[in-house]
Amino acid sequence: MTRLAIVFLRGGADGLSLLSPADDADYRRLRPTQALDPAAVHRVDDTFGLHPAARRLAGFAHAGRLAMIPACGFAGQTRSHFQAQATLEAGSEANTITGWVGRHLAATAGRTASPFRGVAVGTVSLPATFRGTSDALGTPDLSSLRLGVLRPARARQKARRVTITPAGPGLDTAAVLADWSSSPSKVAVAGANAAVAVLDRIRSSGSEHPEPEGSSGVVAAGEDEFGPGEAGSVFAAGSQVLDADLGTEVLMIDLGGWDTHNAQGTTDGRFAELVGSLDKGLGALLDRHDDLCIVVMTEFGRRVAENASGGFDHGRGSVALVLGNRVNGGVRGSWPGLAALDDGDVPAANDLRVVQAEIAETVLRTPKLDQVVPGVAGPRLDVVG
Amino acid sequence: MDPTLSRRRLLQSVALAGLASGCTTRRLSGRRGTRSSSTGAPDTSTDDLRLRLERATYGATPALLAEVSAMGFGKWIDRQLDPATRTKDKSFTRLNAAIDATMPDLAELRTRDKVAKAGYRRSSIEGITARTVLGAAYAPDQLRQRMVDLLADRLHVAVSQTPVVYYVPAYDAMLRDHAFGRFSDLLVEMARHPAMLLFLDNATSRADGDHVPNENFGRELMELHTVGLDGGYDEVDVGEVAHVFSGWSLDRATGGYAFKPKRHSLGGFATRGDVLGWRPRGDGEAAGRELLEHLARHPATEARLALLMARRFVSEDIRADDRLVIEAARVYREHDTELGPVLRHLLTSDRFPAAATSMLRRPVDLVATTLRRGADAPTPDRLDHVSTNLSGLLRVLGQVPYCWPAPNGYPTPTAAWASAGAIIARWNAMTTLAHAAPAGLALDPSRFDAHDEQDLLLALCGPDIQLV
Repeated sequence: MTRLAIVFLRGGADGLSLLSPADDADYRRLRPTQALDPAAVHRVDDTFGLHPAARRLAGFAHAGRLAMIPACGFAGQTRSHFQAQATLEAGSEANTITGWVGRHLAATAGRTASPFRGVAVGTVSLPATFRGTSDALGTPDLSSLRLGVLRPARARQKARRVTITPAGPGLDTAAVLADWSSSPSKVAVAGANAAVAVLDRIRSSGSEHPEPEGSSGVVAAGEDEFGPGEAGSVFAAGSQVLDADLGTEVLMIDLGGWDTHNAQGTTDGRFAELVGSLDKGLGALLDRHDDLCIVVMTEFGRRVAENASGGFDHGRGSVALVLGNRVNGGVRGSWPGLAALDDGDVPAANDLRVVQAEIAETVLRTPKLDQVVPGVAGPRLDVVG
Repeated sequence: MDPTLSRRRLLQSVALAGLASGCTTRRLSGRRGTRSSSTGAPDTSTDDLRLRLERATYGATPALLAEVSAMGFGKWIDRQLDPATRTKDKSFTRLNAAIDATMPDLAELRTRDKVAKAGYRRSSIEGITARTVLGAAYAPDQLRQRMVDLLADRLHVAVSQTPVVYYVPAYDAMLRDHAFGRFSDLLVEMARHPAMLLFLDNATSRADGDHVPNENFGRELMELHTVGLDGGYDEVDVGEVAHVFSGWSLDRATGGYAFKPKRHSLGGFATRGDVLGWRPRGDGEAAGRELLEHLARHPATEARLALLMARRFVSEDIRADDRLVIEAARVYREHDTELGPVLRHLLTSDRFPAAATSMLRRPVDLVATTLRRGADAPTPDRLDHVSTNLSGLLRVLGQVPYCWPAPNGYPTPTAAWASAGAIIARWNAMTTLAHAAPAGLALDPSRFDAHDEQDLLLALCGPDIQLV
């Protein structure tokens, strides 16, 4: 069965630099200092080229394993980060409290019994995408999910590793749950029960010590394989979750820093570094997990014209990427060009919720599509075969 | 009497509370049960006072309860709102000065030495963490500490962006100075502060000539800092506000705020229309100040601030149409946007006991209340270890102060902190404090009515400490 990884680019990634119409006359006119060099992009068709730093993505594109959807967003697209993220994670313009994957996992609760069906790495919070099920959690990495004394690394150390070693008699989780049994905070009680289920599952799967004693956190060897810095650590932690026998069906990775209002850069600079990290992480994840389908999405694209700070303010249509063996590769959907903009933005010509719905249908094989991504009306994109 | 019950006594009291089902046991039913068993009738006045104090402080210690019982809650609030309270405790003032001394000043930051800069970055983050957590645990002005916690999320700047980090200690100090003052003044200080000018990119914005001003600050000023997403503005307004603040920038020589008239232009704003009922009388720096004054007094800001404060200090589930929220908005208006009177109203209201609901403490709150209840303040000579250990613990717990990357600040509701992964991190943080307290953070088990480390650990992981 194909598993799913969702990579969320928080902050609104500039679609026109990720998948660039680098020759377009309007693009070059509206971006006098921040346009990509047409000779430097990785050509994928007559119109578009991938960012120069997206070397692995270019390889996947040429191998037919990468679908690229330009001008991708949703109807009534807002320029508010928080509203647009809420819409995408809900999978619904009604901004329901539950998330689209959370509803899918709840609808298929009988398929597998595991609190690890949905896992978000790099965070202790449960992303909104997973809300609505008790079969999902957020954790920095697998090795954080055991009990003991913490020895956090100093802030200056690059990979923020934590060592957890057993201490004293250990926490009596049954006694803790008894203490909480009459608590008025139902949400906190549910969290405590979920925590115990997670610890039990980790113990019974033998994943309690995924790395040699003494090391900790993320994959110790080959950290460079997943790219540098925090993004590399999160991709490595995600790969480790997929390796473990925990029943994970959906992995979620959040990457921050895409809110480039200032000094975005072109072949080099801030955006190039972001793309380089993303590219290395995606490449390593797909190399290690052949069965994986990865969808890369962001809450909105950025304005076509650059601002006074050499950056781009919030816009509408961006780009979605889908990677994997079953993907119908190439640029998909329609491209309206940059001659007629939506209030200065790339219009949301292709519906990102159609991408979500097609993935729910073909990868998650959801039985309740009308609940998971309700009310989708846009034309099909057939991103997955 | 110790504020914290041992596990044994807690279980006993839970059973008693079960017998008393039907009573209002919205919160801390165990404590109520215990009291009714000893006196025959619930001592509601003590419970009521304790509940209000738990929200106004980082822990209603026995000494504080006794002090406030004698003085009266209203008088205690007035003293909390008095700036003189900040320096009431000389040993804390010395500790705070020692914390400030660990952080680099702006002159030092002018170095180009990368290693030195990385060191300054670390000492800024660790210093701000120590100031936040140790202030919450030990400062005499407890209510101010609570209010700064809220303001730091509502008017958030993130250290994740490199130049911002160096200005965050000063930004945090500014929030502390203005925590009870007029929100309109606070907005002006925020908009002029280098941390915010850099974080939301206004420092590089300009509207002269063909330049398109940077919208980042203008948008979040309305969406996050004042009227809110449903406040009635549109995309045209975002662009106009960006024009109003063009030229609000930094002085290259001093690193401080400077208005740069050459970069400033209202564009066609003056002839086009209004922003949320406001029209500029002229251009220049004065226009931005006038707009901030207008936004601070807009009805949508009044209602939103009242709701956000009630959600933090009373109940995360409180509704916008709750009488208490509507009253708080009125108090804000009647006191010319002053925040102190709003806090006073929320915490002293007769509506408070019925409206208050239990909330999971956020990580900073959890660590601070644990230290406040169970450990003496560290001496300045141990500060280095303490700061490092505190920021390490909070990193694991997911709430290092000013490290939330997005401009909306750390989330408030229980649901955001109750995922299985977050609960396990909390249990491990408590295990660390109970069994292997890092240097300078050792707890005294007897203050939790615990006989051994295991008993202490259960107390720390129980609802009495974890909930507020």
